[in-house]
Amino acid sequence: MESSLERAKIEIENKFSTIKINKIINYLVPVLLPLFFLVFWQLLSLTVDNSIILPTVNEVVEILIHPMKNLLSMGSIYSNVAISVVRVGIGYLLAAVLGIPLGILIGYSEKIEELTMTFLNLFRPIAPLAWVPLVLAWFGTASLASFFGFNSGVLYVFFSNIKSAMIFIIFIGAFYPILTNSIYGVKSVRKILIDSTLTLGASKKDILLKVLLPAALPSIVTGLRIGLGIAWMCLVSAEMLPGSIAGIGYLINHAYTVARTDIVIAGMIAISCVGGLFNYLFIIIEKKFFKWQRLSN
Amino acid sequence: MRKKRIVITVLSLVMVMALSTVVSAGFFDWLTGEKDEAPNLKVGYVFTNHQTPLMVAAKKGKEIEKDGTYLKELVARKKYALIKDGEKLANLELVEAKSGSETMTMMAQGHLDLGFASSAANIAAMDKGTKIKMLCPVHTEGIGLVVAKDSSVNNWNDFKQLLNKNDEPVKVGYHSPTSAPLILFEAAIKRAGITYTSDPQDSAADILLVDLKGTKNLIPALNSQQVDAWVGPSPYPSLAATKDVGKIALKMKHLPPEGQWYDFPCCVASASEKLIQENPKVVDNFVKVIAEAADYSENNKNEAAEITAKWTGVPEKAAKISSIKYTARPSEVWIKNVGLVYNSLQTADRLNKNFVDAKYADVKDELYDFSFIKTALEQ
Repeated sequence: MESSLERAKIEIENKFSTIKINKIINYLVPVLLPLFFLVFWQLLSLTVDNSIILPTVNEVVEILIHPMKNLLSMGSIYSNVAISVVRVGIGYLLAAVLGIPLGILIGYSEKIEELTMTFLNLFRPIAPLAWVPLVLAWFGTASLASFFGFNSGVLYVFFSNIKSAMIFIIFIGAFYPILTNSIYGVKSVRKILIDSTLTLGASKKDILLKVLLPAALPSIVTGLRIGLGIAWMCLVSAEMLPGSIAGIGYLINHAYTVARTDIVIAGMIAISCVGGLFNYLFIIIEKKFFKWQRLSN
Repeated sequence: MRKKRIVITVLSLVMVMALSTVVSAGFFDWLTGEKDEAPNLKVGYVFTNHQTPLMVAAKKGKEIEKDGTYLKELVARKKYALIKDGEKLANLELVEAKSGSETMTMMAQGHLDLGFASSAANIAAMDKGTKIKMLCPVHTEGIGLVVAKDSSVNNWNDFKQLLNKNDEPVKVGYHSPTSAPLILFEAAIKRAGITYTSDPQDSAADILLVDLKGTKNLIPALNSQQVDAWVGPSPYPSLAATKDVGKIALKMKHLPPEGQWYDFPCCVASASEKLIQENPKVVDNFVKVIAEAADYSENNKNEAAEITAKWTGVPEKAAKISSIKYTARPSEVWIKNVGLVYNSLQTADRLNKNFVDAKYADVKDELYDFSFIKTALEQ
C-alpha cells in the first residue's frame, strides 16, 4: 500500500517536473534564435575587428541603454524616435482618415468604384520613394510651422520638424494598403447578411453602419496594420529629405555618413522596437475585438 | 446659492488674473514666437566644414560683429535673425541639404533664397537656367586624395608609381560629378599626362573614376575596397584618417605643378537674382556676416573646428586636422581657377544649355555679383 502511494507520489513529481521543464523550454524557444544571433554577431564582429563594418554587440547595447544620451549633436535616440513617431503618426492618420471612408464607399457603391478605381490604380504601383523628387519640387522644405505661421517659439521648434514632403511620403506609403483592405473588407461581406437585413426592412444607412462596417472592420484593421508597417518603412527615406536634422531615419543616415555604424544599428533596433510595439498593439486589438471572426470561421 | 456665486466669482477672477499674468509674461511669444514684418528667407547649406563660416556666424552671433551686422539665434541650428544696427532685416531659416547639387536644385525650384554649394554646382545650375549669382567664396582648398591605411602610397610620386605598376586601372572614387575634388583631380591628372576613364570596360586607362554617389559612401567604399583611393572634401579625408580606415596621401593643393592648384575654388555663397533685386540690403548684410565669419574662422581655426564638430557631429579631432583656408575674398587666382572649373564642366559635357559653347571670359559677369563682397571688404 505504502509503496504504491510512493510510486504515485514519484509519478506526480515526475509529471510536475516534466511540466516545469516544458514551461522553461516554452519560454526559452523564442529567445534561443535571438541569443544565438547575438553570440554569432559578437563573434563575427570580433573576427572582423572593424567597427565601421560591424560593431560589437556591447557597443550597440551601450547606446541603447542610454537612450537619453546626445548622439552626434543630433539629440538622443529617444528624442529622435519621438519626432519620427509624430511624423509617422500624422502621415498615417491622414492616410487612415482618407483611406477608410474612401475604401468603404468604393466597396459599397459600384458607381464610385467605376469612377475612382482607374484613377487610383494609376498611382498604386508607384513606390513611395519614387515620389521624392516631385514632392520636393512641390513642397520644398515647407513645414507645418510655415503652414500655421509660426516663426519662432516652442511651437515653431516642434512643427518645423514636421515637413510637408515627409508627411506626403509617409501618407502615400500607408494609404494604399488601408484603402485596398477597406475595399476588400466591404466587398467580402456575405450577400446573405445584406439580403436578410433588407428583408427585415433595413435602410441603406442601416446596412452600411450596422452590417457592412462591422463586418468589414477586421479587414480594415488588417489594412491599418499593414499601412503602419509600410509607413515606418518609408520613414528613413522621408527623413532624408532636405531640411531635416532630426528623426531616427535622419540619425541613421547621418551616422552612416560619419562612419558610426554602432549608431546605425542602434537606430535600426529602435525602429524595429517601435514598429514591433505598434504591431503588437494591433494584435491585441484584433484578439480582443475580432475574436468573433475566428469563432465564426 | 449666494456661496456658490461667490465661489464662481472668485474662481473667475483668479482665472482672469492667471491668464493676464501668463500673457504679460510673454507666454504666447514663448509659444508661438514674436510676430514681425521681416521677410522669411531660406538658406541652403551642407553639413561640411567647407561651410564653417555660416556655422560660426550663427554660433558666435554678436561676438564677431564689427559694424553692427550679425546673426541672432532664434532656434539653434534652424532659425536666425539677420540684424543690422539693432534692426531685424530678415529671418533666415537654415535648410540642411545632402549636397551642393541638391541645394542648387532647391534654388532652381525657388525653395531657397540663399545657398552654399561648390562653384561647379553653381555653374551647372546657371547653365540650366537657374537665376542665381555667386556672391563670394567661403573657403578654398580642403580637398584630399585618400588611400587605404595600409597602402604604400604616401605622396604624388608613390601614386604615379602605383599607376605604372598596376596592369588594371587604379580605381579612384569621387562623390559627385560636379564636385570640386573631381574637377581638380581630373585637371591635374590630365595635365600630368595620366589617362582616365569612367567606363569600367576600358582597361587601357591608368585610372578608373568611380561615382560613389554621395559623401556618405566615401569611407565605406574604401573600407570595402570598392575603390583604391578617393578624392573628397573635408572633413572626409581627416575623418577617414581618424577612423583608421585610410590616410591622406596628398592634400590636393600640392598636386603638380606645385602652386598651380592653390586657392582652388570649392564652396561659394550665392543668392537668387530675385532676392538681389528685391532685397539688396539683406544680401549686402548677409555677405558681410559671412565675410566676417570667414575671417574669424581662418584666424581661430581650432574654435571654428569645435563649432563645426558640435554642429555636424563630426569628431572634433577630424574637424581640427582638416586643411581649409577660410576666406570670402575672390582673389585673381580664385577667379582664374573658377574658369578651370567652368572649362572642365564644359569639356566633360556637363554644360549643355546656356553655357554649352560660351567662353568663360564671356560669361563671367553672368556668374558673379561681387558688388556686395567688395562693399563688405571696403568697410
